[in-house]
Amino acid sequence: MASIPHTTPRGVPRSAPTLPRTAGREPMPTTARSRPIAARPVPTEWGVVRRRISRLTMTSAALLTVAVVGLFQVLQTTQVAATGYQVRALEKEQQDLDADIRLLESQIAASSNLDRIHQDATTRLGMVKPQDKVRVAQSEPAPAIVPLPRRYVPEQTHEDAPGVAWWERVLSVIPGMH
Amino acid sequence: MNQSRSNNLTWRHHVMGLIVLASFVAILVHLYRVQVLDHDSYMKEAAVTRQGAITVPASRGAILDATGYPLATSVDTWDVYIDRFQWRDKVKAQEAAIGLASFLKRDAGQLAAEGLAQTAGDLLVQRSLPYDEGLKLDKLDLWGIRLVRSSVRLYPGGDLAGQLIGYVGRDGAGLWGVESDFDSMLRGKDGWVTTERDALGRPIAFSQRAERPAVEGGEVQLTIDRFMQAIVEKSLTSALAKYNAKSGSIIVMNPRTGAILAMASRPTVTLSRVDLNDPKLDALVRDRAITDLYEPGSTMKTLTTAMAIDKGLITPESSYTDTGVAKVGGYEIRNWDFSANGPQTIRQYLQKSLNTGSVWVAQRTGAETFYQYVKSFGFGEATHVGLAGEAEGQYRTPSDANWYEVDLATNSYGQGIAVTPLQMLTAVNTFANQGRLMRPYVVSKIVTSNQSRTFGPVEVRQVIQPQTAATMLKLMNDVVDGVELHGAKTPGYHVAGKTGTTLVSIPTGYDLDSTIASFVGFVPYEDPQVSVLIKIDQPSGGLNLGGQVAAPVFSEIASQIMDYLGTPPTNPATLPKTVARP
Repeated sequence: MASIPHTTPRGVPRSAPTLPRTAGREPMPTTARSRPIAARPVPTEWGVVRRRISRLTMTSAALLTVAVVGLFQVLQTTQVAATGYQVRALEKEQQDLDADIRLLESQIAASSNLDRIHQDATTRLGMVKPQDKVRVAQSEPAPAIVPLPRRYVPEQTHEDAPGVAWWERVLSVIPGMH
Repeated sequence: MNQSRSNNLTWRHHVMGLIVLASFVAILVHLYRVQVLDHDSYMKEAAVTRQGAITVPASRGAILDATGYPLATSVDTWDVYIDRFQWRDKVKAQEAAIGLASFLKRDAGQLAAEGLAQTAGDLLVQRSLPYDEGLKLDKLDLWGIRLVRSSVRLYPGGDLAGQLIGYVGRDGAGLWGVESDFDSMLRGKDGWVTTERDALGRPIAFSQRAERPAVEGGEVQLTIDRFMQAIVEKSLTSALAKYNAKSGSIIVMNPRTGAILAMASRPTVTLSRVDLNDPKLDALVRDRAITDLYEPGSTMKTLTTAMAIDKGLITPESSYTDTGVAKVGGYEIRNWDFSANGPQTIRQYLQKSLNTGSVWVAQRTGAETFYQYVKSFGFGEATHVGLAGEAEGQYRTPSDANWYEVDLATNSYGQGIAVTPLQMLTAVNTFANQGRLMRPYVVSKIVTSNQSRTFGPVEVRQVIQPQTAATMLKLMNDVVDGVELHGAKTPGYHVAGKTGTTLVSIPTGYDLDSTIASFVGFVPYEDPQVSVLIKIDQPSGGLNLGGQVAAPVFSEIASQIMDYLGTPPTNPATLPKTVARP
């Protein structure tokens, strides 16, 4: 075992040589005389490898965990973003459809404008006002009044949405989290 | 080895380390101040520059008639703007101008010139672009072209009930009529969406987003029936033309409930061609049936007679002697035709509409009782129909210093007392409603996003006894059916009614050449389905009496309304042809 020359910061050799250091946490070699085999097994190459594998496994597992969590986070964020995009697209579609409905309703109303009906009847269909009225007595009830469009009928009140969760309240007190 | 490295650190290293450490500490302190202490203020500043709010306009609610037909409704449109800030890029601006001009069929050069005239602000280039057209334009993705949602008010019924429905200005506020009176319910509540935007103001995808959805405007349903309204408006227009009259009003009500089924006045506004700069617009949009006062003339005789009958002072067969003149307080009051008819019953005085008769009745009633009834019939106070601008009417009473004895006499036949057509019809409706005065109403239902309110008949008070009301109804029937060739006769139906003619009051007295011809009546007499008041102002075509001008209009309207309602004829003998089917 060769000694390793040491120097002080200023380059002056030390008076007493230091003991050689083992690399890392490698156990110091022991003899049978100093310690019984039964009390402490003699480290073998396999033991070292096993410890190294174990350390590697743990590190890998940790990294994998971080990666999985990160991936999950990314997937979740992507999913939320995609869903949000879909929601907004559907909202836009709903707006367009609502606009179409309103336009169609107004067109239906305009097509039953009394002046227009009269004009169509007299010009396009060639109708004329009757000279004599014939009244027929009958017991049929009069048609019911047209009800309001369904969209104006008040909907049933829904239960209130659930309140803010406790963890959201906790997060909200942290600056920058709300 | 570590020992050796640490030993190699010189004081310079320590100084540098301290500087770096101090820097990190300073950064940390600053971060703490920015992120924690001043967090809210920096957030606000950032939000101002980064976030943009988009207003989501609320759709204005519709105005429906009694059958659910939308008399006024809104459809979505787009307003097209040029974003001049983006148009600072002139190459892209020119391309966008060409694309936009092609789409809008405008001149590209003019669009580009207008858009490039300034470098800031938005330029409105097209208002109320149809919704589907806007979507097509949006897909073109033209540089610096912004579409903002808007809406346009439509009146599918055409110009029907223009004074009553009203109009909406460009700012979305109602200007008159129901549009104005119920603006807060029709308007709804605009929503907003707050999104993060980039430097060009475009929304950033997947950014933070907050929103408050728009609340749609409520729906207002009227008691007006568009079919009856159309009948009334056509009849009024043709009557004004036929009799060369200046103006006029017609009201149709359900006498039992007070619901106004049709109400029209002329001249009127044309909803399809409203000119907001027209100085005469105020006169055109005025709903004269509720805002204008007039002297009711002989239609008032029905109320005068009802008071005395209700008090048991006279009966339909009570009689007086008509000498052709009644002397009151030094004044001489004569009949409208200057006739003297001798002994006359109450029935006859009403049929002939003798002023001397009403003076005689009023004198028997007494001033105190007379004016108590006048007030009880609802004169001198608004009917609270729910529309703005309603007049209260006016008349003098014995407690007024300027009241004279002759006022009782003239008031008894409808002069010297000012009422609105709606007040008059509401008062006369008591005859068809067992003596109960009903509050007139024109809105039957309001449905908003969170509530639905229904308005029904409201009894104001019992004015006369039911027996008196029935007697008056019969007397009014005798006025029409008992007079041969009465203008209000309606084929197939017994009618109850009374004509009225009054001179037009002017600051110096009365204009002897101008009259207001009116008629108020019920049909059918046996079970009144509708009550109608016709008022034609200043007819000048040679005919100017209520019986000549207004009564025929009543007949025309009553006949059509009975057909529309499908009311079985009560006097089939007067019909040319009837087929009975079991």
